[in-house]
This record gives sequence, structure tokens and C-alpha cells, in this order.
Amino acid sequence: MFRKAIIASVILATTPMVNASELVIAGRDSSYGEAMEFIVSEYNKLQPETKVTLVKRPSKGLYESLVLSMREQTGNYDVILMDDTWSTEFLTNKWLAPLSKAVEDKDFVQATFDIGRYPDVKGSAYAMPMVGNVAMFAWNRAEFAKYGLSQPTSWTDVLNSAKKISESSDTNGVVFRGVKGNPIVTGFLPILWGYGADVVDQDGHSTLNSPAAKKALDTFLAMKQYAPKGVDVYNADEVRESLQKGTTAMAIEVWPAWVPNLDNAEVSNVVGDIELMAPPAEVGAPAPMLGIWQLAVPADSDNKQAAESFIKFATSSAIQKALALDYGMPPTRNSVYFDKDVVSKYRWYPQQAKALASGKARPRIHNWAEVESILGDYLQLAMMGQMSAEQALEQAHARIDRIVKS
Amino acid sequence: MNARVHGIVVWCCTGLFLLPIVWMFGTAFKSPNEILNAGASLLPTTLSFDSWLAVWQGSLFTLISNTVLVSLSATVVSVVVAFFAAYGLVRYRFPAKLDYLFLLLVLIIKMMPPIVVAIPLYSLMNQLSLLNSKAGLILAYQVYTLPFCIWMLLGFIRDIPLEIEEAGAMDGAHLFRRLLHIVFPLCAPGLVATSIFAMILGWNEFLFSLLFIHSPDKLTIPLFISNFMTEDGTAWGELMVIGIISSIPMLVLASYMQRYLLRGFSMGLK
Repeated sequence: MFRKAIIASVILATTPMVNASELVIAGRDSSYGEAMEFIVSEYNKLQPETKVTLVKRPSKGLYESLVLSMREQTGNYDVILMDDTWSTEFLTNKWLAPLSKAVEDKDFVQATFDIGRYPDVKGSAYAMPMVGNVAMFAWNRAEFAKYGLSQPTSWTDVLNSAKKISESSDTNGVVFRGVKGNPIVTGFLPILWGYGADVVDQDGHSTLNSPAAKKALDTFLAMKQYAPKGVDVYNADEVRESLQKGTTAMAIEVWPAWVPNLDNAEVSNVVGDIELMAPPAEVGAPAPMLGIWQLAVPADSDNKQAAESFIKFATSSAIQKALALDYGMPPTRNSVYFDKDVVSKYRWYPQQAKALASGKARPRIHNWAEVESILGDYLQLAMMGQMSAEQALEQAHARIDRIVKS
Repeated sequence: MNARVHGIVVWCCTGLFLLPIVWMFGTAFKSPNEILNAGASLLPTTLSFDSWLAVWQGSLFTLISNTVLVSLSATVVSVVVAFFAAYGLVRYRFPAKLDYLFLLLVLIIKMMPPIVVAIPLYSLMNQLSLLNSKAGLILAYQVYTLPFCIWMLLGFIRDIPLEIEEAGAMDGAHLFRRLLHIVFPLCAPGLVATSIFAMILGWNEFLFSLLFIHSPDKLTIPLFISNFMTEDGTAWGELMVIGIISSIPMLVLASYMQRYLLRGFSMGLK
């Protein structure tokens, strides 16, 4: 009897230890890392018995790290932060665990939540949206007013305005990311979509040899003469700098997480001057590009329940508001986009919410990373003048079709 | 006049090589504002320790000790294995030119992009339960360091006259004794030089550390450095500070081992 009592008391004493779990989160560096550190510290206040370890990966190494870990089913990570373009590959390989119905919430901007469903928008949710990035178009209202220009509504307007500003002053007309690979592709996509063209069709076959794609690339290449010198090697950092210093009047592609300080007089010379809006369209309606960073639970995690609870907490409206105000992270919830405090800090948020709602995801094909890399190489060759727009698109088209068939 | 020209050339060359180091120290003591706005000035107008404090807040000591431990252990393993391998390849004859084939394979492994090797290696490490361990990392680093050490030591061992070893053998020294008392001292400069280069390879290794380690307390310095070059921008001050700090252990090691390098060379000349 005495022995049974001892065993029972030991079981009772160890029960919290059994329930307590350890979560390992694979996240990113930079502001995303700082934001995740904040979430972890807040979560620990609520769940002190759960040990949460945050592994911050450089943005270029996170994808490789996740793929290897999930492919080998190591169970290293319980929660992963991922770009929405990776999710097709992760889901077709069954690397992610489905989330329960409890994560569904009408407050999320529908497009950002649906991007985490599989196999289509009616399917189960496999990921929750943490960062609601959407590619916006930036233009300097003061600079436009100086030359009697009005808000651009088409890419032809953008080109003409860039010409006028560049030729009339030292200010560059337009800026974009010219580094090969992902940067130049995401810089070009708003124009490509704006002309009604696309990289691939629904089956993953290249459509880059279309006349609309050729027109889009001609426009993109024509913009180089009104861009800062050395734009071929420009990345996010340089685009932000030239916009904030007021040396450039327009930016084709601006992700809100890049520019939380546009109206901060300490670092910006253009306080109140820059307007962010959905990218212009040459044909049809604007199609802003979504760049959602999602949180998901790998199928090989041993702590799925605790992991889901963490994800729900990390995407809650209170946390999203704090992340937006303190870390400049674009939210994914409507309530935060129209929150009084948030809008007073980021006046463009209502516009951003609209862009997010009508946003378009990059093609959902499992080898998008490879397609993007090929297109990025040829775009830069065209940008450097080493081949014509037509040659670049034809060659990219042929290579993309080859990898789709293989 | 000749000596004067010589002196000027030497000073110019020294200045040229010192320029990036001076710039590194200057930037490390500048405030973030000065870094962005001071243009090409080498030295700070006012001393700022902001960058030092920002770097020091992390678990820097753990990262440095991890890197020292892993790269030093990888170097020891590589140099010891490569020493015996190179000796065998130089002194013994193999059928069907297997020695040349082996050296070619070793060279091919060294020439492969690391990511090609990383994927199968990851799988292997997972099966051996060596992921997220320093022992696993030390083994993985052999992909970089071992081929390099074998090829480098090959030349040093070839230069040792066979007659010296034969004389030792005639005096009754067996293989191990000959290796220890004849071959090892004579190729000491080679071993030291190889160790320094292998250590540098291990010290700067990034990819395997990124892929194989997922506990923050086991990470190495190159991963920490990459945190300062992000999509949000480059933290130049912090980058310079960590550049200075992370180069100190290698400089200390190289200057300490240089004595043995010179001593070894002079022994070889006797």
C-alpha cells in the first residue's frame, strides 16, 4: 500500500514534466528574428513550462536547412517560418502537418490565410500567415507635383514620369532591384503581371514567349536609363536608401517590411512625401504580388499540439499589433490594418490592406525556386545589355520548359 | 639611394596591406550615423563603442570556443590522417596506378561545390545520430580539410630524401621509429603550414555549420557573422568588430606556430 502511494505520488509529481514540452523554432535573422524573439519571450510569460528555442537562420540558408531537415525526417524543428513560395514543394512532399479547425479565423485577410491551404483554397490549413508582405509601388508625391505629374496608373505612365523627372533634375526617375535571381524576378513580376502576362501557366509550362511578356520586358529594360547608376546590383537595402534619401522618385517594388521608417525624420528625407499603392496595371486590374511569411508545423515534429498553440499565439491580433508597431512587420489581420494606433504610425496601411486582399501569389509550382533562378539569370543578362529582351525571354522559356518536362 | 627607394616601396606596400585593417578598426569605433554619413574617412571623429556593445551582448565567447574546438579538432584529425596517407602514397607502390586514382578522387572531392556533398553527408550524419553535434561537424569538415592536407603534405614528404630513411632502417629503426624521428621532424614545416591553412579552412566554414547544427549554443562564428548582413541592411560597425575579434585567435595561432615553421625550415637546411 505504502509502495503504491509512493508510485502514485511520483507519477503526480512528474506529470507537469511530461506535459511540459520543448519547442524548436526555425526562423530568420534580421527584423524577422527580432520579431520572433519578442513572440518567444511573450509566449514564455504565458507558458513558462514550455521551453522554446529559437534558431535564427540567415535568409539565404533557411530554405536549405528546412528542406534537409524535413526530407530526412529529423524532427529537428517543431515550428518553421517559411516563404509562401516554398509551401507547394513542402506540401506536395507531405512535409507539413495539417492544422486543426481551431486555427480558422475570419479576421485574417482571406488571401493571406488561403495561401496556406492545400490542395486548394477549400482544403485544410497547413500554415498560418505571420507576415503580410505585399509588393507595393512607391512614388514621391512632392517630386511629382514639382513637374506637374499625376499619380501613375499604368506602366507607360511610370516610364513617362521617370523620363520627365530624370531629364529635368538630378533625381532618378525610378529604382528597382537588379541583382540576379530572386531580386530581379520579383522586381520584374509586377510589370509582367501588369501587362497580363505570366511566367508559367497552371501546369507549370512557361508562357514567357508571349508578346505581352516581351512588351513587359521592353518596358522594364527601358526604365534602366532613368534608374540610378549601378542599379544592376541593387538589392532591398539600396532601393530603400534611394527612396528614403529622396534621390529616386519611384520604386517598382517595395515590400512594407523594408520601409517602416519612411516617415521617421531621423532616417528619412521624404517624411510624408512617399505614397504606397498597388502596382499600376497596363491591362486589367492591378495584381499586387503576395510575399507571405507563414508559420507551419513539420510532419516529423513530436510536439504538434504545442507547436500549433504557439503558431496561434504568434498570429494573434495582440501580437500582430505589437509586431507592426515595434518591428514594422506587416500584419495579416484586418483588425490590425485598421487599428487606430497602427494607422497613425503607418498612414498607408489601409491601402496596403486593399492590396493584400486583391494580392496574387507567385506561381504554385513545386520547382518555382529553380524557375525563378533561370528567369533571374536571363533578366540580368538582358539588363546588362548582353542579350535582347526577345532572346532573354526565348532562352528562359526554353530552359524552364525543359525542367518542367524533366 | 637604392636603399631609400627600397624603403619607400616597402612602406607603400605595407600601407596598402594595412589600409583595410585600419579601415576595419576605424569603422568598428564609429557610431552608426557616422558610418553612414562620413564617406571614406578612415578614422572616427568621436569614439563610439556602440558596435562593440551590440556584438558583446550575444553569446560570443561560446561561439568562439565552439569554433576553436571544432576547427582545431578537425585540423588535428586531418593532419594526422593526411600525414600517414601522404607517406604511404609517396613511399609505396600501388598496382594499376591506384595511388594516382586515389589522389584524383581526393582532388575531385575538393573541387566539388560543398552543397553537393552536404546533402548525402546530412543523410549519413542523421543515420549516425551525429547531427547537431560537434563531433559530426568535425567529421564533416574533413571534406574540406583532408583532401587539402593530403595534397599539401605530399609535396613535403616527397622532398625528404629516401636515403636518410634507408640509413635509419640499416641502423635498425623500424617504420614507426623512422616516421617519428626522421620523417616527422623533417616535414615539420610542412605540417605546421598545412595545419595553419587547414585551421583557416575550418575556421571560415559556413555551410556545414548552417545545415548540421540547430542548437544556438553549438553554432560557430561564421554563422554569427552572417547575422550582420541581412535583407534589412548591413551592420557595418558590428561586422567590423566581429571581423577583428574573430581574426585574433587565428593571428595568435599563426604567429605562435610561425616559430616552429622557421625552426623546421632551418632544421631542413642542416
